Amino acid sequence: MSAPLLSVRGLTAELGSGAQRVTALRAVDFDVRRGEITAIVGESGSGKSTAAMALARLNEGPQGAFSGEVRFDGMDVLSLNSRALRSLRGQGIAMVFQDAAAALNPCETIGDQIAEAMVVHKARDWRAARAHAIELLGEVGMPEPARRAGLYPHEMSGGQRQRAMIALGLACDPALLIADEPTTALDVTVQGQILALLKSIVARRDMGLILITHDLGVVAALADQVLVMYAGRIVEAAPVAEFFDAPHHPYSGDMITAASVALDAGGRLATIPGRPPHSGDVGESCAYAPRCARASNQCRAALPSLEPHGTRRRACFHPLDDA
Amino acid sequence: MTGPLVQIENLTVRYPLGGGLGARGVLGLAPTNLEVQRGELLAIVGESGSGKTTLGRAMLRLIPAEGAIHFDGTEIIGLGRRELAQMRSRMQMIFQDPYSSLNPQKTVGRTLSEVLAHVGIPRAERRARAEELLSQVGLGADAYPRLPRAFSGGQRQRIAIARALATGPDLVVADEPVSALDVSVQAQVVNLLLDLKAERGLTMVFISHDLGLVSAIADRIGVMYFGRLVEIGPAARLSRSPAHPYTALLNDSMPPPSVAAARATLEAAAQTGAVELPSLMDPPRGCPFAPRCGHASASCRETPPALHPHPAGGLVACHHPLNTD
Repeated sequence: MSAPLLSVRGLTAELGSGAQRVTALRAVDFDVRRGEITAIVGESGSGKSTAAMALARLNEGPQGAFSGEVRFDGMDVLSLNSRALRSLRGQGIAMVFQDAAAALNPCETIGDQIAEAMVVHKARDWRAARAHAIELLGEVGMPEPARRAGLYPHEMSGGQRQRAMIALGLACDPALLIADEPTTALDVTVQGQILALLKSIVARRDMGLILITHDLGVVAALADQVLVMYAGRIVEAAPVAEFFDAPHHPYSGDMITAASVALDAGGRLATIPGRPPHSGDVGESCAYAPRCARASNQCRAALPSLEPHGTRRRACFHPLDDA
Repeated sequence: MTGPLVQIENLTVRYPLGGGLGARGVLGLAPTNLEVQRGELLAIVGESGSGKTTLGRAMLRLIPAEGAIHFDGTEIIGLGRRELAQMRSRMQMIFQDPYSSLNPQKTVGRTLSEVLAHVGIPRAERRARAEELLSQVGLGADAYPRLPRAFSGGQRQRIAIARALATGPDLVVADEPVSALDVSVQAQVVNLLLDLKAERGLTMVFISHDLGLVSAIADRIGVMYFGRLVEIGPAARLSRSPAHPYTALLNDSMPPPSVAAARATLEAAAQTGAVELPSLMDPPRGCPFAPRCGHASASCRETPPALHPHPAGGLVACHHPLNTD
């Protein structure tokens, strides 16, 4: 097997300042290969977006510091200087955000925004860049791309804006696309089309895709491997079919049960008690123990490490495959 | 008193376009007839722009509307300010975003006490009543002196529910009450609403974009598209054998949390091209769903279908309904 496109080892992030400073990510390890879709699943505060942004060091600064290792295409991302980092962003790693209406520039046409990215990052001349922008809009399934390249974001529907943002992400031929909740703001009948588009782009361009989502239906539809995050750590990592067939971490199992939305005999929906911990609200014990039906004194006293087990990894003292 | 709690006749909402004399309007809600039975949980589902929130707000007279709304036998569109204020305590709303629907500068206790004062609870009893409401929604009395910012999204939505219950309503309209919450917290809040509905005999209108969720909890489901009610009927029937092609599309669009089924959903979505809602400025003459519909005929593009009874129960507005046998 070829070397992974992206290799993350021991990635730890400290965010915020002063008393507000928290460890938002703790010792995160994973690989992404070309042509592969990796879903990072979790609730708010789980660290899933922090992890995605850290890969391109987007959340770095006085309020954000990283340690560990991020290797992308042979580069050591965490030690790149600002010039190399600029070239990594866009050309190596591109992002698609949840809210296209907020992420796109409202004062510039879609075609110009896409062309501008190519002129800035790849030093292409404006006319060639503008023509390529129309090709990209066609590639992402925008009807009448030449005409729509001249539209402003507010003149488009939500689905079209998300297509435009994906085209913008592809402008500099990145090897890795990170899509943060790319369909959460869209209607359900449009969501499937955008997911199908992402899948076909990954196959056609042989890219890596990291999909950040809270929606297990989206994961089942699209992902090759699943990383479940809870309180800043990966608690389970598995190939997608095995994950849904037999989740090992109790949190994974509880999430899959909750996602099936059915009333029990008492006329109530299955729930997970309690609520997700705040970002960085983690100690030296299993963060899920307070909500977990299988928790023992061991879980409340020590932190389970993420251990390999067959084709997956899991961090649990009492995984669901133990009877 | 028997009969439906709410009976709506030709309820219509026009949103003005531009200003000045002769300004045109767009139809946010086409003339709609609907009954809400006592004690039922009626879900209204649809996508953005379908008119589901407009219907919910118009039903409580929170926005100007034409037509008639009979609430427990009293027509409320014609009511004056004072009589309406009295009726209001019997109908309450829960909004989607508990971060913006609570006043950030008022303590939970003050928010609840103001509502209790409005419905005539004596000052001396308000605190006890407020604490009782808080315990009914699963919060402790220690929530009383605190500000909304001290609470998580799920807890804030519980506070909003307590506020809605403070007037002792007969009808609660909940507009996407769990959409802003984390997945693991959504089911807790839905269960709370189901418990409170059962304990208090509430009638509930639950507005949602999530057909899967409401199929599990509703008695009846109404499906909206382009400002129109296109299908309404028993929840089990709509999710098992939808009559309107749009209901079927909604049903088939949600990827379930199972790999084989979710991939099939994605395959189907990849086959359908990018489609858009018709323009409200220039509404189509016939059925608004016809441009997206695999069953559309010439008559669909000419004549808008009206709601008709479906053999398997409920009503459907379609010239070529599905599952008729």
